[in-house]
Amino acid sequence: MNEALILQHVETYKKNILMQLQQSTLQKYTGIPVVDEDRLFFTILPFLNEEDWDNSVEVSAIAVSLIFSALAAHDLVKEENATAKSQQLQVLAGDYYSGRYYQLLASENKIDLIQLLSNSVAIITEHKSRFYDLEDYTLEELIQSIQLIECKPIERFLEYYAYHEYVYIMNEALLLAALKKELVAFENNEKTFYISKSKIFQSNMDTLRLEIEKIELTLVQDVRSSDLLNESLKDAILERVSNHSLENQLREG
Amino acid sequence: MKLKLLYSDLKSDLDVIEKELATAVNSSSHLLNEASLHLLLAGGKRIRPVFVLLSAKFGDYSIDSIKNVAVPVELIHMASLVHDDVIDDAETRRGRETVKTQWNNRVAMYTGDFLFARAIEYITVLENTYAHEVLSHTMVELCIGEILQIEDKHLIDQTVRDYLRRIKRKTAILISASCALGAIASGADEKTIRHLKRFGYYVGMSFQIIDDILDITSTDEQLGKPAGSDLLQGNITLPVLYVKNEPTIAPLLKEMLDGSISEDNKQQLLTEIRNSEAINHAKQVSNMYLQKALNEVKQLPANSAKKSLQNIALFMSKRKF
Repeated sequence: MNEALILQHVETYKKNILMQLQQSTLQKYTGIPVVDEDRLFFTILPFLNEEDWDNSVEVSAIAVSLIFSALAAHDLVKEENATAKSQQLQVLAGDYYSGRYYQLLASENKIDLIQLLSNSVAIITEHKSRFYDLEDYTLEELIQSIQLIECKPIERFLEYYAYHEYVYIMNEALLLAALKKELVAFENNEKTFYISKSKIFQSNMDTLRLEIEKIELTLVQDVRSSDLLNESLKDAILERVSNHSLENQLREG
Repeated sequence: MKLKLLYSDLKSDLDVIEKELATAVNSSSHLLNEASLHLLLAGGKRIRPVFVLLSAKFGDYSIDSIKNVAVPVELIHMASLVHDDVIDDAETRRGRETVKTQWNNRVAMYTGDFLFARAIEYITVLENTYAHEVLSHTMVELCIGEILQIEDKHLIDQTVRDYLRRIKRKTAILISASCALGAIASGADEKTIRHLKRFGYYVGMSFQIIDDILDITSTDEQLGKPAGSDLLQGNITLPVLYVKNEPTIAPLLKEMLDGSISEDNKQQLLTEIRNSEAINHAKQVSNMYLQKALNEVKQLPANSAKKSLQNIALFMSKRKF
């Protein structure tokens, strides 16, 4: 599978996901649902690496993306004064997308996967709440929370279908992408999801930078030396990682 | 008579549900624990779990297994209330501060998401595809009902049909699903499931119409919120639809929907609607749904739960506040 074909598959999946989420009023007031292409890419990584992938896996992969679209919709609800019609519908968009993922998997009789995924959503909300409560968390604990928030449903999906070898790359790559995005936004004085809510992050920016570099270095080495991934896919992963390179993003920002 | 007296024979089972609800909302997050317990302590009639339990009496009843259905339907109801309070910008509910007021909207979103997730996780103990199809369909329809409510707000040109379509999704469908799921989980036969599902739907419709009537006819004290607050928020309910074109009402209604109404005019509008035939007319519609619900009960197999379902339906549709 070459780079162009990989991109084409990601695009096709994205279209299928958006089809599942179509609702005219929501679209009119809240816009097109958020579908994170990085998460999507790492969800379908085994397929892009030409592993066995039947219709049931495909539907489940779509359901995983619906979960993230639901959570992303709720992240767009303002902390205060969400009284505008678009904000009210943002609340309902998240609930609607969440119902759609459940409906999709119920129609496929994937009850055990529903259990795993709904548990992962509960875990995500618990870890998101860490950024709002008054407990003291260490930098390590918060980074771990970010990884869970970014990856848990995908991890559950990959493990459910026994694509265990892909979990590590997905976990590290998505954590890296999230941390870089946060850091770049913070340094450009833009809105951040995690850093602005955590004094621990703000007072340890150098440590955070070092941590990001360490994750990136290890990930790049592991991808390059992987026996599991085909060469085009390695390039596609490295391309994604380098697209998120701090230097590039800061320059663009 | 108090509603709880009508299902006093379920008391020990409802205590099990109450304990199980506390276990279900238990979280590793201090914040979510606090927010969820805040909701649990606010109480509620737990009418949806009651419908689950009573419907399960038509099959092989066991509280240990049926609690896995009764708990999630209540969690879904609770979650939707937390999110509704964000949508309505509600400061209080049942006399307590809402989650969004005590913390903020985002925490309310996470609390609701957590409860929805726990609900789904809980009901997966039930390995019955049909049950999951019913519940997931219900969750989607609930959202569509809320979306329609926002779309229809301030729209004076809507029809009775629009209103009925909205309350079906907003209220009736979850009560209908509660009845159906109780019956499905206990292995009741298909015909019984169908009657219970319809019964829940009709009771839900009747209940919501009465709720909308009471919003106009009750006092602030009885409601625990200002009378007419639905109307003030732009929600056009059945009694209003019947009188919206009356010469004494139309101009005041326009002011109300514009948000420019004075307190005196608001009281006058409520008085005009209260004194009109609209209240009786709406009560007749509620009663029609109640009769349909009672007809469904009649067709159920002989069982002690039949009487309870009948009494609860009558109570819900005849309540004064």
